[in-house]
Amino acid sequence: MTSTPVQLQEVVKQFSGRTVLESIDLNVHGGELLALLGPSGCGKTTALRIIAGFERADAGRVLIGGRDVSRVPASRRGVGIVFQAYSLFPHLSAEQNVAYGLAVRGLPRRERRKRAGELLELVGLAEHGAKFPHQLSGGQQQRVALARAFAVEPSVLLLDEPLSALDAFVRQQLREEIRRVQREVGTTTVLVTHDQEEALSMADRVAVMHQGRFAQIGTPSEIYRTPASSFVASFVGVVNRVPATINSNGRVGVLGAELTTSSAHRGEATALLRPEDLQIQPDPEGRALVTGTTLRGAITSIEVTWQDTPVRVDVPTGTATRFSAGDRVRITPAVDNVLVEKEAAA
Amino acid sequence: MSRFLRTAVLVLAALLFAVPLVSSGVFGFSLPTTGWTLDPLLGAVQNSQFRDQLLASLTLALLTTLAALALLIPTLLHLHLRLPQALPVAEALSVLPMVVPAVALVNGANLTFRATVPGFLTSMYSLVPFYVVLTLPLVYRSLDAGFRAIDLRTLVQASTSLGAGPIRTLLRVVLPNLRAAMLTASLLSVTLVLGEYALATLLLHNTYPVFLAQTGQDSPHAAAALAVLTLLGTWLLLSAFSLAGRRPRTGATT
Amino acid sequence: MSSALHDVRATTAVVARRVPNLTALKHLALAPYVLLLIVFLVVPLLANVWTAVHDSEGNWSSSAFQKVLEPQYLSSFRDTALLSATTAILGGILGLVLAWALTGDQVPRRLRDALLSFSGAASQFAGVPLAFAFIAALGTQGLVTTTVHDATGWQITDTMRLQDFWGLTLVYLYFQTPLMAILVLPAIAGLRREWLESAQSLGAGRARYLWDITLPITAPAVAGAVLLLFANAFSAYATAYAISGGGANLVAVMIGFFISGNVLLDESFAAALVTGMVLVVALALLGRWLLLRRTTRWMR
Repeated sequence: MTSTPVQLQEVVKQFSGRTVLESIDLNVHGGELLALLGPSGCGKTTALRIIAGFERADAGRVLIGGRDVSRVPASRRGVGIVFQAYSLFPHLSAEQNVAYGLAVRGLPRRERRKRAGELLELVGLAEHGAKFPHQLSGGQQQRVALARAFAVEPSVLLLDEPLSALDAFVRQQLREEIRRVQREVGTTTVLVTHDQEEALSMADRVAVMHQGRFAQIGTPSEIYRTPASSFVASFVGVVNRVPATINSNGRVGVLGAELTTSSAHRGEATALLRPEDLQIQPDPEGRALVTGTTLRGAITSIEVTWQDTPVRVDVPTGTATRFSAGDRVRITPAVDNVLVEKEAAA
Repeated sequence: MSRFLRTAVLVLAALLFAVPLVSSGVFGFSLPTTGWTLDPLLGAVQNSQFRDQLLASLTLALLTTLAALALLIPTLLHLHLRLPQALPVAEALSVLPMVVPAVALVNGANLTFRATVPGFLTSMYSLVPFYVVLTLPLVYRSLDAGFRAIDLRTLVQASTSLGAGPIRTLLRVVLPNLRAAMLTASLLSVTLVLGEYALATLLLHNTYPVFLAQTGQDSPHAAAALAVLTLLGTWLLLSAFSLAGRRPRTGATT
Repeated sequence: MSSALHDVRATTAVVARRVPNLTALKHLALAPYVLLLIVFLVVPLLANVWTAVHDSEGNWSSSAFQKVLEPQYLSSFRDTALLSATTAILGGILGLVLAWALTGDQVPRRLRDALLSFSGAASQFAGVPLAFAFIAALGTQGLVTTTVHDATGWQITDTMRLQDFWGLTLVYLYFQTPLMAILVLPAIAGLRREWLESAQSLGAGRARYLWDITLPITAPAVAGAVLLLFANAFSAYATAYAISGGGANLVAVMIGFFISGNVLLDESFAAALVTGMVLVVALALLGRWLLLRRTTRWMR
């Protein structure tokens, strides 16, 4: 078994007395793309910067390829990084940017140019090598940055919100592009993002961070289908918070149905239900009232109120015409097991 | 490490910058025989020329500033609203005076006006247009920055769409938004004119710096006292900038 | 509301119809600005040049310029250039260090703000008051001079007098250094952290980063600022005059002598000196303009 490409062991970081990372542990597996997902200020960027060597952990160890690099400067860690934006050297052409790491390593000019050309081709910019950063679009700049990071064959690639500064269309395109290149080259990659859609669609595994800790680490579907906490459930995807009661047998009464839960809590509670986990039928006798509909593309959200609680139900857009504001409907959970929060819904 | 070095550099710079100021403060406000005293300063200030020449400088500063604003605000307004394509040319023209040092300008002025309008240069007020020209690079730039900071077209269109006429738009919408830039430009202009020596002395007009230079030859202690007060006053006047930049914004919210 | 909107549309339509005929008028509005510069800057400058290349009878003559090239006058150009270059380079280096220290965000805030505002003011300090402040410090009876003499027995003015080359250099540095700091501050603050970190992750150490990235990116702004410092020192009159009482062998001081009639007036010769001076300053500023045009390409 080869050693784990990146390991964080009990890493602690404080900034002027405020604890940003509270002793976190993380193993990134070889060749995978792991996303660090969380709201701003959760510590995900700090974790990335500690791996890169731009920040030093107050306690704990950073291992890259099994070697303790906690005291190794960033320039000798063999880590590639792509920032949000503006990271290209403005006075160098795209090709010179890509070749820079190779120049630092003392590669002969001819080889540098050849390698840079190959990498620009890999990211689809073979024609733009002579252009300067200010002559490239935001998306093209990020592709060059990606090629530049790959050029030095890093043992780990770090992506710090690489798509956040781009507009929606380019973002979507580049998401797929990054994933394709990463698979092709096979570099172990850590992606920092606050965008759950980006994390779920790109990553092999997602580590959700909250207040300096990992709330859950798992595959995208584990994170989405079986969130470990109400924070994960509400941060990743949309959830409805519905009042519920848990009886002494552990059965959950919610929306007039009875479900199971793994929670040990008993009594008043809040059930967390995803909009697509609810079924909705027109029913003149129903206890729920449609207040509006929102077209979202392939799906349509039906907003209903159930005993004063707003609930969102997602249905395929083709079937959404059956519902309009003012209609009485019946909604029922389409899952057996439900996540609950101790506090009763407001 | 870098933090320590930077702080050390700043502390050292502050100490070195302070040496001439402290020295002239001590030299100007003490005498070898009597210790701390205001006598040299009072001696100079009671000189009737002091009042006259300071007043002359203040008058020139005021006139130059008003003239510069009266010339540049309509010009810039017109450029930004109607003729944006001419902005680069106007800006290039504004730095032209840097090419001509003050002594060079004096010689040129003598050659030009002595021959054509003999009486012109004998009036102290003839300095005003030259001062407007000399201060143009800095004054134009600080005003232009103010114009660029606001979206003038949108402001004017919004005001017009609400039914305001051009005069009302100018007075109630445009100028208030330019207050900070106008104040900055005025402070710069006033400071530069109050300190200008070459033109005044070589065109034989008695302004405050000319008085100061004369005092230096007669009584060095008084000159030192006036020098430190002038330098500190300049600092104070110019640091009113940052205040000027901030105040209108808080004023606008109240 | 709708009537107001209508008004706007009507006005726009009227303006749009009138535009073609107005182009000439639109430019006419710049007349006061352009006229001021022509009458009080361009014409005097041209008068200088014209006078410099004509003799007192109005015939074309290059004798004034030939006289400028005589050793005694050429030496003042050389001395002025030397003083300007020295204060521009030393002030440039010190100003860079000061600007670097000023861009630190962890340094004590009050100290930084005070020095920043002081630098802004001190960059305009050139003049009579500054000269007297230095005389009070380092003149024969200056505070520093006497203090050092009492303590060590060494009379500073025996080694360095303010009106000498190094004395003037020191005085000029008092405004050149903060001017440099103010000029390069935007370029230094414009250096992005991402560049340093990208370079580091690509294997470059501090020195390599400075050489490969910082230097080429800031070089045009820095060189441009040094050229402005040179022009600034070359043009300076009041400081040198007040310090030396007219004794300094500098072009500006010499021209001042000619103008104030202390020397037998030769109009053409004075004009030739002025023309030479303007030429030097213009060349320095032209160089700066060419350099800055390069930077603005990527510094947006």
